[in-house]
Parts: sequence; C-alpha cells; structure tokens
Amino acid sequence: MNAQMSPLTWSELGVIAIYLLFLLAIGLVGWRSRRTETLSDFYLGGQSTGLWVLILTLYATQYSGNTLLGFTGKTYRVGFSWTVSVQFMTAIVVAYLAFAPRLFGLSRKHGFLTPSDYLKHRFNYPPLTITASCVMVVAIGNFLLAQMMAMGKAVEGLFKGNEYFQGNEYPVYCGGVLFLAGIILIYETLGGFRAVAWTDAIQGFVLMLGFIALLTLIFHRFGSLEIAMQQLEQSAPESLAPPDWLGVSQWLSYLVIVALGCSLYPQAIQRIYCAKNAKTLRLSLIVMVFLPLVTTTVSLVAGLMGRAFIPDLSPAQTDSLLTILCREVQLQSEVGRWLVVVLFAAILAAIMSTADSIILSISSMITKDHYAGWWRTNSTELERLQFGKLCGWLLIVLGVLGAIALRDTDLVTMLDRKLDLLVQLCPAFMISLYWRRLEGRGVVLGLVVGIVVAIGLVLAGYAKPFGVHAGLYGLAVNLLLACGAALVSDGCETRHGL
Amino acid sequence: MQKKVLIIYAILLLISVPWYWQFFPSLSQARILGFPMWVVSSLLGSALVSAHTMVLLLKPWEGELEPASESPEYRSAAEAFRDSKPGASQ
Repeated sequence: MNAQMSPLTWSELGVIAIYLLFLLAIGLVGWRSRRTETLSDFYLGGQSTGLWVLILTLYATQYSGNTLLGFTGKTYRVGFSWTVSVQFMTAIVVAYLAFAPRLFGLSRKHGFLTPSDYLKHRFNYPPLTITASCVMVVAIGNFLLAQMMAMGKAVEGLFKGNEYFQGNEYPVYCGGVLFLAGIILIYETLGGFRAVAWTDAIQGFVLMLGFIALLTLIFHRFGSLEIAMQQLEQSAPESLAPPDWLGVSQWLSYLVIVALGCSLYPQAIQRIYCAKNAKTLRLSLIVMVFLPLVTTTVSLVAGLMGRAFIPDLSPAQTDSLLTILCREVQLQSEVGRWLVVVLFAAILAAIMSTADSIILSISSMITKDHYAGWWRTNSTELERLQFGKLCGWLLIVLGVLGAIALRDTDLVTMLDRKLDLLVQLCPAFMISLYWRRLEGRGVVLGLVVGIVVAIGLVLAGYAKPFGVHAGLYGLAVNLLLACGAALVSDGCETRHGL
Repeated sequence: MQKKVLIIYAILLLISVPWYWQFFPSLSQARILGFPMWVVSSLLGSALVSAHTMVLLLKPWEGELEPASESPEYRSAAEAFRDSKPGASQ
C-alpha cells in the first residue's frame, strides 16, 4: 500500500502558508491588546478569557495531533474496542467537575498563576510544591518533544513527492520543525496567553473543520458504514466483537487514567484559572462534554473504514492510515484535494495548539515556582516576565534540537508515561480540596513512591498488568500513603482554608 | 459531590462499559445505523454521561453568585491599586 500522498500543488501549499501567516497576525493583535507587563497578564491573559475563546482553547489544547493520527491508527489495530476513546474524552470533563468549581473559586480569591500556587496555598510545604512542579514539567516536557517531532513529520508529509524536494526528506523535516517552532516563538513572545488562546481558537475551529472534512471524504470515497461493517464481518470479525474480561479491565483503566491524568495537565488547570468568571467556565465545560461524541467518533469511524477497505497494513503502517486515506481521496476529485488541504491544516493546528500551550505552561511554572519561588525571590515583576519569555525561547530551542536529534525515535511509549506521572498528582489536587486532614508530607511521600512504583513496573516490563495501567498501581500506593499519613498524623502542619 | 450524583454516574458507568455484551454475542452484533449494538449502547451511555454532566454544570457553583469581586472592572481596579503600592511586585 502506498502511504505517500500525491504532492500538494503550490496553490494548495499557499493556502496553508496564509493560514500560518494569519497566526502571526493574531500574535501581533495579542501584543497590542496587553494591559500590563505582569506575569498574570502574560500567562493568564489577565484572567478575562471569554466563552468562545475558552471553549476553543480548551478544545484545541485537549485534542492534540494524536487525536487525528493516533486514534485513527489505534482503531485500525484494535477495532471498535477503541470506542473507549469517546468515553475517556468525556470522562476528562467529568473529572474537571470534581475539582474545577473549588479550584476556580480559590484561584480567583488568591490570584493563582501556576498549578503549584494552589499547592503552596493549601499545604505551605515547599518540598511538595517543588516536587509537583518538577513532575508536571517532566511529564509535559516529553509531550512537547513529541509535538515538535510531529510538526516535522507533518511538513515532511506536505512536501512528499514534490519535485523540488525529492530525496531531501531530512532537511525538509528539520526545516519544518524550525519554521513552525519559529512561528510559535513569535506569536507566543508577542502576545503570551492571549496570542496562544486566540490562535488556539482559530486552530480549534480549523480542527473542527478537519473532522468534518475527514468524515466527508471518507464517506465520499468508501460509501456507507453499513457496507464497511459487512466487509469487516468477512475480513476482520474480531474488530466488531465486544471486549472480553481483559478488554473490560483495559477499558476501565483507560477511563480512569485518561480522565484523571488529562484533567491534571498544567495547561488545562491554567485554563481553569484564566476564565473570565465561573459562568463562562461552566458553559465552556458544557460544550466540551459533548465534543467527543462528534469528534472522537469521527476518528473511530475513519479507523474502521480504513480497516474495512485498506485491510493489508502492517502495525507500523497504521499510524499513516490518515495519509493513506488522504491519498485515496485526493485521487478522486478536485474537491477531495481541497478537503485534504483542510485536513492537513487541521493536523498542523492540532499539533501547534498543543505545543504552544505546553511551552507557555512550562515557562510559567519554571518562572513562578522556581525562579521566583526559591531562586530569586526578590526579583521584580518585570525581571520575572523577561525570565519567563527567555525560558519560553529556550524551551523552543531545546524542543527543536531534540526533535531534530530524535527524528526516527518512537516516543509513543514515553508519551504513555506522561499519564502515569500526572495521575500521581490526584491526591494533591483533587482530594486535598475536600479533605482538610491531608498533609504535605504524606502527599509528597505518596507522590514519590507512586511514581517509583509506576515507572518501576514499566521498566520491569509490566506496563499494564491485568490490563490496568502501571500508573494506577502507583496511584493506589500513593493514596494509601497520603491518606494513611493523614490519618496517623497529629495535624501539626499548617493547613489553610479551602 | 453529592451521593445521588455519584450513584447516577455509577449507574451510567455500568451501562456505558460494555462488560455485559459478551454474554449476548448475537444480539451484540445487531446493527443500528451501521454500528454494532454494543457500540451503540456505549455511545448512548457516553451521551447520557454528557447530559448528566451538563445538568450539573447548569447549576451555579458555590460562591458564584457572590458580589462583583470577580468582575473584570473590579479586578483591573484592584490590580491598579496593587501595582500602585511601592514594592508591590516583590
């Protein structure tokens, strides 16, 4: 099977270039709209994000390139069992409901900037604040590297087959990483959170168009779902079967780890802080909770259609399923070609919107939790802001270098680890909002031991014993230690109001 | 969260996770709009979870109806006041 798309014409590439230039223009508008030279204004947009921008930035941040590329390939491999993806994307919003109302109220009252600000306020225990901040930076830093690599791959895909770039895949990949990272660097430095949120809004909109394009082009090319199911009954009946007990165990494990882990993305927590008011946040979560039904389901259908009509892909080729589908559609008609352009813009949007949010979030944590937290506590707001911007640039440079050096590395396994790490923050952020006895020492002990258990299991070759993610075993130990320590303690630690 | 809310989520989880369809192999493969029945039940369960969550999110949150301390005007005035204080940024 030819996984290579037919080359995009210069006019099609021009449309994508205009879209990217538009992102730069938004950065400029964000820069002109800044109110004060403060960390709060730069990293949270002055906490005045309105409804539609909040919906689209939450959407674009939560749905990465993986939703389009990875989920389609995964459905091809495991069949309808990947319906769990619709449920776990919904479960993320349910998990928000468990802590966002209280966290939002506290953030507004105490002016939180980073997730660790809440921990500082709640526990007043520096080892926990610093450890939690480091865990978040490591977990999403790895995710950033993956997005940078995905940028290079996407640009490589754009120019594949173009006569001017024949045999120059590596320079095209490197150029793609540099070019797209450069665009992010410019609009993020100019406009900070405002630019990121506004570009996310555009990118979220393009991503929605991309899902519509994907659905249209699949049905246009292959026909109805009924025909695909008949085909699958003959060629791959196992992909239609409901899960057995091990499958059910994996299903539940995915629901829990994705709901808890993804809701604790630092960039997602900061989007809770940045909402204009509680009503705006509530309404945007209402929209978010229905989006998986109309977006993730599309990836599911695309994967199944691919399995039915392009049945001979090797496991390694399945991640290229979307590219293969694009080629099939491109060959059909002129409309098909333009739908593919929209889909490619959506893929770029999904990757860039996740990357820019991560960069902003990591630089805010390094600046507020570490630079201002213990390194240079007497620094002025302006110095912190300058340091934060410098930090963002350094992150981009490191991401670019890492992506170029690791071009052929498979990061999927490491990507899975981010959830194993982030889920360990559950007692610190969720339980602590409701249980006043929980104390910093116990929480940090649970956090460290939970991570050791999770990573230890993975390194020992047990990433999912009995179908359950290693991170959840770590979380069980973590909860035991954190809650146990709270129950046996004499309550001498300082606790702050909730 | 209240007990009633948690119980409803637990019931919806039982419906959404397709653990019981392995006992009805032929019925699970019946088609609705091209999807196998067990997939439809999972998607329907997911839609019900969304609807239940929406109902919960429609209610104002604790402290939401408190005075205008969260209005942008109030905040910018408070920020201006804080910034005007000497050493405010330290």
